[in-house]
Amino acid sequence: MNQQRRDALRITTVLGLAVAAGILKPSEAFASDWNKNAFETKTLADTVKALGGVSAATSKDVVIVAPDIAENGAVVPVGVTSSLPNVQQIAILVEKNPSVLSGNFMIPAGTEANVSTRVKMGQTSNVHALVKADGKWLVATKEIKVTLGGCGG
Amino acid sequence: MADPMRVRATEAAGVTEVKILMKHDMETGLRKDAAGKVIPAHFIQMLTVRHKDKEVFVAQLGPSISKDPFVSFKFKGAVKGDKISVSWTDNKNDKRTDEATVV
Amino acid sequence: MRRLILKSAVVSALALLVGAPALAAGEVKVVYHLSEGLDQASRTLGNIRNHLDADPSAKIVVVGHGDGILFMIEGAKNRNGQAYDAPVGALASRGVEFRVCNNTLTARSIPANKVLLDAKVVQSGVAEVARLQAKEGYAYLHP
Repeated sequence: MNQQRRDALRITTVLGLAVAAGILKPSEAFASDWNKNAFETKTLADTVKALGGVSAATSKDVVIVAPDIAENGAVVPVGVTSSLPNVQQIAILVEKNPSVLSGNFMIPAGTEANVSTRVKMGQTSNVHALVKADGKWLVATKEIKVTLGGCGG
Repeated sequence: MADPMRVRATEAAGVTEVKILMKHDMETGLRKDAAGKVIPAHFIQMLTVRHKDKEVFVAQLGPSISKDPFVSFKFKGAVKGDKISVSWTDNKNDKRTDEATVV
Repeated sequence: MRRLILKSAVVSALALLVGAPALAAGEVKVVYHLSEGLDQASRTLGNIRNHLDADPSAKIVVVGHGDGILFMIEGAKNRNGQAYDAPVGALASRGVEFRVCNNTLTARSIPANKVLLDAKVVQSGVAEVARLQAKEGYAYLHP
């Protein structure tokens, strides 16, 4: 067995023992990559910093695919696409939500810069799509109006 | 393990589109129940999709994602018949893994 | 309306007699049967929202056959140009189940992987509607 494997095995065993002994919770031992700081930010600028950037420049090459009006704020479909090369990360923010950063998507090589999801929106708000491409942060913004559902069609 | 996900992987012209529908309450921790007690936060944090031991998609999710989260993305390099594996972990360390075949 | 309640009470009683699973106390079960296309579907999704607002514990199943499946196919859009995936997803996350008739899919050469992820495919829509009523005590609603 080579030295790297021996080290990995040793570390895993120690961590495993620590978990078994109740010293470490499993989620702490095998480190979660969930970016807690980013999910607690309240503004676009703070989110960019929490994600490791300085600022984000507005870009027409980041496109938000979402309705202008969402009848049901509980489920709003939001998609982000970009024609830029070397997109590494896409983040979706709902400005007026208590939890502004909704999702942070890692795009490895071979995966397209095209992500869709469904977000909750508490009220009419700007939705920001942050894209990291070639180490640079870019952003696009779209306002989505949220109405309460009506009666029938 | 938690409730199963619905995963669909469809390949066309070398690009595989993956659609995932998870079953999860995605509680924000800000709601109160009928008795006025706060319902604790309970939401999926990490979602990982693997194809042939390569991570093709990793999502960090927060409580602003809708209940029963839906995520869709596209990647290159799979052919019909390949298997992909989708796993999620939530903030209470509950987990779920499901597999799908690319059609 | 009273006839509907009476009918479902009678069906429920029969269901109990033939040994079907007992109904949870007070829970209303309804199957919404759709067969007429996107406008009916749009109206019905609104009806179902109102139904759940009035009775959050109602167990609702939507069965589509014929043109009633169209709103559950990817890419379908309503008169305002909006897709159905979000409203269907929203109702699904409130516990509503959506079922699509496979006979219709086959007759129209629609592949199963074009059906919205939130919906399930059943062999026959009409058989499913009949089964839900006769075997599981669901009340029938044709909006």
